[in-house]
Amino acid sequence: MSKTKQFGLALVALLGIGTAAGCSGSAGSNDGSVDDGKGGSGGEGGEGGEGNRPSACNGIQGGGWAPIVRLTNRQYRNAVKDLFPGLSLPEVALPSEPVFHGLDNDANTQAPTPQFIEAYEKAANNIADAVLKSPGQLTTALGVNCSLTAAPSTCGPALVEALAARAFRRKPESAELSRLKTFFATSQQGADATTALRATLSRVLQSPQFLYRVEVGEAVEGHEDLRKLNSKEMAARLSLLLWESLPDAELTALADDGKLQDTDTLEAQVERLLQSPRSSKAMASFTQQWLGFSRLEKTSKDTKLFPNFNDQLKADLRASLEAYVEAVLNPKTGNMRRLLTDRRAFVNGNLAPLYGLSGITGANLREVELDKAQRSGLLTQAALLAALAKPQIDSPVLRGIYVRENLLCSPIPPPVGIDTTLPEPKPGEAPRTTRQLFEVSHGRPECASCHRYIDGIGFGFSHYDSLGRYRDRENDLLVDAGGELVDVSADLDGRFEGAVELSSRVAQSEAFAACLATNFFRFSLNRAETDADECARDQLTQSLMQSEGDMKSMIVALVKSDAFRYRGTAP
Amino acid sequence: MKRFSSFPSIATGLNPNRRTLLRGLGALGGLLPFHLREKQAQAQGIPTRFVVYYTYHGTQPRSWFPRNAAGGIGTENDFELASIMQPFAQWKNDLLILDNLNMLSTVDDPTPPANSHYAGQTHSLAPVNRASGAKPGGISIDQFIAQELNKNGPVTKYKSLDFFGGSCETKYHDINSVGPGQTYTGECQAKTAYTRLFGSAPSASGDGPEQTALKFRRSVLAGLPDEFNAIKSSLSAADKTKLDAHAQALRDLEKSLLLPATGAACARPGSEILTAAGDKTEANFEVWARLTAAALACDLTRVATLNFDELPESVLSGVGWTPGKFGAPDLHELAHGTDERSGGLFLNPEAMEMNRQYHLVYARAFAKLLKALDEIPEADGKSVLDHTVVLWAGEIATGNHGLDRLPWLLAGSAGGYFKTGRYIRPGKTIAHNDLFVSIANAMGIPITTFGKASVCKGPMPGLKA
Repeated sequence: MSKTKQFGLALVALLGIGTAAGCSGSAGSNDGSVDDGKGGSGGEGGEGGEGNRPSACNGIQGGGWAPIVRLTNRQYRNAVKDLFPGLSLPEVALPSEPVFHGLDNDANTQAPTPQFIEAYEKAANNIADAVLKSPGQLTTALGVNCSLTAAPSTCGPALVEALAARAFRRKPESAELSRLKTFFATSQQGADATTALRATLSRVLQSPQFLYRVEVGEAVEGHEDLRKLNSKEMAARLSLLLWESLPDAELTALADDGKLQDTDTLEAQVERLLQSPRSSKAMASFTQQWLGFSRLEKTSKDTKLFPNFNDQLKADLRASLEAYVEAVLNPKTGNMRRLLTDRRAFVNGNLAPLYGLSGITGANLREVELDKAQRSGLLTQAALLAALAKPQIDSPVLRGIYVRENLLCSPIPPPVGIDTTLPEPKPGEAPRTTRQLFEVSHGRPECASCHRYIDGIGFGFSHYDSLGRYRDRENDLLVDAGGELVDVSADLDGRFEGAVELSSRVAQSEAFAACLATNFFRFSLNRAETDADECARDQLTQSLMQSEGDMKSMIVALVKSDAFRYRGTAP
Repeated sequence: MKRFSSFPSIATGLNPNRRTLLRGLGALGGLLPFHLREKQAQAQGIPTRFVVYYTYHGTQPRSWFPRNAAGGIGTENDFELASIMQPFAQWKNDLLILDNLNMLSTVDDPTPPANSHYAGQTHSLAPVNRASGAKPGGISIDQFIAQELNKNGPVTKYKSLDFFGGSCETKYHDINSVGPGQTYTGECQAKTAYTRLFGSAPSASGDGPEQTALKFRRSVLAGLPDEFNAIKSSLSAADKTKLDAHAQALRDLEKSLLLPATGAACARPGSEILTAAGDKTEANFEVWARLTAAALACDLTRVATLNFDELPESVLSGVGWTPGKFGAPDLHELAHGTDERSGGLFLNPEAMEMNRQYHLVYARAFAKLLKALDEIPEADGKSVLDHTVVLWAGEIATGNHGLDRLPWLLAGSAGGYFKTGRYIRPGKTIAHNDLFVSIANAMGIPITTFGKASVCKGPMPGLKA
């Protein structure tokens, strides 16, 4: 039994027995839509925390089921640009996607709502319109040697065929081609060839072969409920994950040769795709969702207390955190542990005062090294600290919950029917630190039963105010940043001093690796894990532990895993 | 309810004094039995509509539930509107104020909610066990009704309209769902919504460039289901379900392109409705209210949601609110603290008043919605409001996440189906599922249960005319 499993059972057991009603839960990550500063949010449930782990991880692991996956909005936009390189394209407006487990690509949540169907139609017609404004460029972009103006009736179908091959991520079947050509011919009746072509291009862009990852796969002996993805389907999976776009020429060629069921070839292709800046962007889509960047937009401050807080500062904070996460978690050289231990920050003139830095001016972010005693990685970045705070004071609760939920995947469900307002200092009462305020409020037994899991972590952040500035004193009282991790895992539990120590301990832990692995599993496979995925997730966790946190190792492990190469056929 | 003596075809510009005068003239159709009135409405092609008005943080019960003149608990016909309802007091006779409604469907839900707000939010419109901590476990009542009304092909251009009535910068919770776990986000840009609804409305007949464009769109859409059919055969049953829904949506879109904005009450609003003066948030409410009313009047849809969600801190700055006041870091914590059962601020009259002011903002917005609906006359001399049922709902009952005594109400009689002007306080607690059964019935959908069947007892008693 691995440590991960032990901590899972320990958590369930302890929470179940020792806490107030409502204070038990399964491991899981937050739903991005869940947290709204209500001082509490929990997991989505659905994780097999208590499932019996198979004694041995033999056979095909993790070929779980998700319904057919639609392209995400990002994938759609990137794909369209790749279909028509060099052409000027209209803005594509698409409805926002539902968020599940903090991620926007869960296949179960992708309902084809009328809003989406309308938006796809409009986008397809607008795109078809735009690309036909320059027929010469269009033929070049699609690599077809013909003239639309001179020979529309033959050039049109040739262009459609070329587009379909790229858009469908495979050569169109003859039946598909004949449908498209028939449609072109029919559309030409009573209209000109350009209009017919426009209609046919629009049809391709609204086809399921483009909008969905159609994965038929191949039969697997002895597993009626599993299909093994074919080489072309693998090419699409790989590029849609690592580039959030269509396969390029090399990947397509390998797919045509049937080479992408081979795990060594897959690994080599991962290496290659990760060399492109596109992979950094794609991976940022994942890391920013996992780390809950959407909450940065909701950061607000009481401008009476923080007169320098404005939209510009908010934007700078976000840019600074994005640059930091890109530096430490990019898929080429990124490392999960460095996320929490790197001492760098990206700072401009606006942000420098938050870090007590002088001599930095201008709007451009520049890399600086921060004081080792005060800062360590993500959890001490001003942007995150400011987002995990109330408009006026810092919030041990939000910070504690963030660590538990986003980094350790062990959320605590919120209280039900309990007053959560903070006691107001009475007139004449001595000033208190934020910590003291919460200690009084949460010292009540009905609060303490849950809050010891949260505040114990959150109090470790007492050195950082609502804007993320470091302080030794608050209201003239010395800050106490002693904290305690309770019932997370055997290797993590215990007292610590301040966020710097907390960060280095969490960075090394298996619970943190398992949490990243779980989130990446969900993102890569467009679904939540089930009990049957335990071995697959554990392999991913071990890839991180054995490589000491290397992001690329995790990505390679995922791509080579059965979970990525097989697909279940039924729920 | 307003009475209009003539059958005007233009929605706007009625003289308010004249309307007030007409109000006193009494009902034209009100004396007819319901089934005859319904027939009359059908004959005149006046549809029945359903609107969800959704707000956050419950209410302040003592300022919400009606009392009688002596200060006791109000009865069905003897009650006075409490203070939060004063902004829409002029529509008292159009209201069905509901009491003892309870989210019973949540009681044995095995999936814990992601937080206490989601405990109710996941069940509020889809009263069935959750799909996950923050996602409802089934279709929401509005979407169910929308699908039923359009099940034999689209009867309106849009199955439903889903608006987020605040502004795009403020918080938003997805409340509508089309299936288990399948929520979606409403439109937050009034301008985008306006353009979609009223931006251009080419007639399907004729052979001008607009008709050519329409023909083009229809020809592309009409061909697409073939592509879905072709790939389906090699996929699993579950994949097929998802693709079938997509193909059906394409067919519906194609058909809906032929559906014009119509109805005697229809008047395309000018884009000037997008610019309203005054406080940003409250002015937004008015825009959404008018857009919704116009869309219903033109029969562009029969189902709409206005989700007003949590209000920004700024909305109460005019009445002295600053975050941190009363020890409440934000309005959400104020709502907690002022809960009448467990809040630590319950005995602080200033804090209670501040919380009441929060709910009055919603009430004023609701008044704007009722006004917008009631201003538009229908062919039978009544108003769009009379042919609509508006449900005021929310995610919880009180600031501290109570899920019983939901502060919900109905406005509008759904074309005479409901007997309005009453306070309905059943002796026993009623599952809110039953209210949804009643609403579906009013919309012509003969169901007896909705959502979790084990808590259903049939339509909510005492509502019908």
